[in-house]
Amino acid sequence: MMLRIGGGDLNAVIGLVGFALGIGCGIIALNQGFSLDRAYKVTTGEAYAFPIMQVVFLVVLVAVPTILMFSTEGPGSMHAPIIISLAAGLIVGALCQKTRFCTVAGIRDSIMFKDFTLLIGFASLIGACIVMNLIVGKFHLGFEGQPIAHSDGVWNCLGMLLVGFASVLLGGCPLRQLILSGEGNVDSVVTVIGMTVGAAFCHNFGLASSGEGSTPNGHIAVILGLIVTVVIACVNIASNKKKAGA
Amino acid sequence: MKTVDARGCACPQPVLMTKNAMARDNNVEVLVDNNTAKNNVERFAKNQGATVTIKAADAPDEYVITIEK
Repeated sequence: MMLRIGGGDLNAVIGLVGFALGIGCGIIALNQGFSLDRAYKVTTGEAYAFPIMQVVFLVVLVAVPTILMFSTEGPGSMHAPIIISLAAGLIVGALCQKTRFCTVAGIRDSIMFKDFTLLIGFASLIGACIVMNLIVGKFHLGFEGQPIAHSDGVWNCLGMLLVGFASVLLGGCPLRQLILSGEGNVDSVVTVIGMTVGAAFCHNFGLASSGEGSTPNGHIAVILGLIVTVVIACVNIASNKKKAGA
Repeated sequence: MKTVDARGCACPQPVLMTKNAMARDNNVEVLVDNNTAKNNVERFAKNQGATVTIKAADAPDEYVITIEK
């Protein structure tokens, strides 16, 4: 979403509105008493398992790519040279870890605590994208003709509303969850695995949108996702209130 | 002094628990177990105009944050 806004895609701005609304829903849940149970320290082996697995995947990709399946057409078939992706990932990952970058926390903390620290980071990323896209001539402001994007505002908004809402309940945006998984946070590892499985579901069951628009299956999935998230929030809040009253 | 045990709590619980405690008490002690929570609670308390002192607790990576308004 941030990269799209940086390219001038106004459809992503609609998504940002939904994202902020979703974060607002999450804030309501937090203020009503939503909280995850306390986490406990895990063993060193458990903490390193996921980062080591990522290194193994990288080795497999470089050494024996023939055992993997690759898309042959469409956006999934396109990728940068591995060395560039790896270098960029290492730099961005380190910077995000040191700065505790989180897209959700920027908006959430600004509303809840009047703390604009992380919002500055969020805005800076978008600003840097805009500047770079202007320099290389890839900035095109508008709704139409944006790369692999549709202009279905309602579902852009609702889809990102679900992301914002769920991310607040999780305690961090998808990028933050990825960074935390690298820090040894096993809860975040489970979240990242969930996101990966969710992405696979999207592409295998016709949920994913494309430049041609959103899909009916995708609409159903978003509605179901919103219902499930609301139920999770309500059950958690009720349970916490019961424990507090006991 | 009100003690808030925010160890093991996911973001933004440590700051939220601190905020709620500071609304009721002028002196609050917050227990956290990671640098992120320590920095967030410290920044929040200072933004509220409170005096903040931080001491390392006995357990590794744990801190005791004392907040006085």
